[in-house]
Amino acid sequence: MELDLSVKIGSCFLDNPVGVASGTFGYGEEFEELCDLNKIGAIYTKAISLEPRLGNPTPRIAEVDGGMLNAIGLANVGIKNFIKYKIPYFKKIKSKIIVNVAGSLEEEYIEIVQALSNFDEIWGFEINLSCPNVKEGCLAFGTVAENVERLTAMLKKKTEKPIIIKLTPNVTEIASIALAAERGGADAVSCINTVLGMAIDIESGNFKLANKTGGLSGPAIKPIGVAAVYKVSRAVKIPVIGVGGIMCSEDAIEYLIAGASAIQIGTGNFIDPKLANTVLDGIEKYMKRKNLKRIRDLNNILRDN
Amino acid sequence: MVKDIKTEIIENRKISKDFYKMSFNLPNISPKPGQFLSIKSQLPTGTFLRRPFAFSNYDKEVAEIIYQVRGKTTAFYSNLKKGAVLNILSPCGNGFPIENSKKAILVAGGIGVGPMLFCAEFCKNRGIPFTLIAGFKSSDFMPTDGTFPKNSVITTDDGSYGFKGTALDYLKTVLLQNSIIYCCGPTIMMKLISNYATENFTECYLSLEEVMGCSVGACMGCVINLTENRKARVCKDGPVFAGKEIKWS
Repeated sequence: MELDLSVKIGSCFLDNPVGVASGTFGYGEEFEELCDLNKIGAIYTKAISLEPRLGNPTPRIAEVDGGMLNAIGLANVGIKNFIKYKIPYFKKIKSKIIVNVAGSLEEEYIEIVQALSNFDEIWGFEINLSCPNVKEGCLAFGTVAENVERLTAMLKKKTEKPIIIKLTPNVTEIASIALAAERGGADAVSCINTVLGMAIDIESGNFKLANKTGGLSGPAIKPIGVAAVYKVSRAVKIPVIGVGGIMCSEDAIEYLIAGASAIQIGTGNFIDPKLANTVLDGIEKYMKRKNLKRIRDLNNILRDN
Repeated sequence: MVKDIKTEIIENRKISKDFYKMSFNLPNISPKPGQFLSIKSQLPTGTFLRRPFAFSNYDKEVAEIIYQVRGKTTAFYSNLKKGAVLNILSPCGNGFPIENSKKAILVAGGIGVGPMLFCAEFCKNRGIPFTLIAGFKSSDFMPTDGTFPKNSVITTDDGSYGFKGTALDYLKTVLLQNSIIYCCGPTIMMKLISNYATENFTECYLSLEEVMGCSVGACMGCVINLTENRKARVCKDGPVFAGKEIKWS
């Protein structure tokens, strides 16, 4: 039986549902020696802002039980360097490139999407409205439904490429934000970004992150992500991309059963750089074992009466 | 080229108060002194990130690290037995740019002794003149298994072994003419060594440490500040940097 692993987002297709999450895979090139990039459904780039960003002071990372806190602060090369030094590399790989876009102002998002829209190497955009580390207001912005709807609608006017809105879990009702994105015309939502967290060294009294708070990722947040995907996928008609704590193919399958149309591997890439390849193999094996033909057939496994 | 290698522990034992030495097969790589490897093992605890360790030696496809127990993960590693399976990314980072034409002054502080021993071995094999100055808090912390080459100087802060004082105190007695200083140790020590080198118009390279996420340059977690308002990734652009490039805080 021939498996159909493709995933439709908007009017475009990804070859398979396994992506690698923004901020955990650089611009792809960093992993070329360790992972078969051509077998990754989508590489979500490190967030790109208009100007280069140096990011937060260190320590930027702290490991906690079951997860990792980070406060990188969207350190990135900026759009000019991205076009000059990073885009040419994308020609060499088959994986679809989804640019994660970060801004401090609505105009910044629009300018970035507009500037990158004509590049064939770029498949689509993931809009980061939910990075908890940038003080200029990213977080507040993505937590207000009206903002999300307005910005999504503006971005949709600027590009033919798919627009994916990345949702923060740090809200009272995530489905209402997803609905706002859908009303704005989003082609999909990714669900979830990191969960706000903090860790303190009890001997020194220091925060473990220089930024004091950071985003929690890793296995600890998987149940939060699965619940969010379940709720959101029942609220909206557009595809939901599941992300949060996927460390093995079983975790990815769980997200797909909960209602996701595709998934992203984040922190797991740090532990096993070829995890995206292993997870795809695992999904295929599971589909064969369960006699499933298409990715969306996994959504029907859930016994939800 | 960084490789993802599955291997088994050959030996893992305690070599001083809280230093351990671990060795394992790591075929088909050619690490330079100052490069590091990133270890993953199946942890029963809730932690799971890889841990970076500098090579302390590499000979006949056997890699060796000297490490210190600092938290749950390294405590767990210190209890692993012969045959335990490890996943290793290696070799990572740039390594020390050791020159043939100049004398190498190798300065180690505490657990920084690992990569400096590898530097010493490298110099010995290539006939590069070198001195190793290894500083410890006290003799308890000093590896006790005859690891040090003959012309090494051991310093202890309390004078319990060798020269009484810090590695820098001893360095101040050494003639720096036609030499390059290579150093690995606690950040505060490296800052002082770097400043001393600058004051004495001597080239100096230091192997820095930061908490790492990915070990391959992707996550931007382990950055340090360089001059001219630049930042660099310790895992990919380093861990070795020229002293004059680093902006010390």
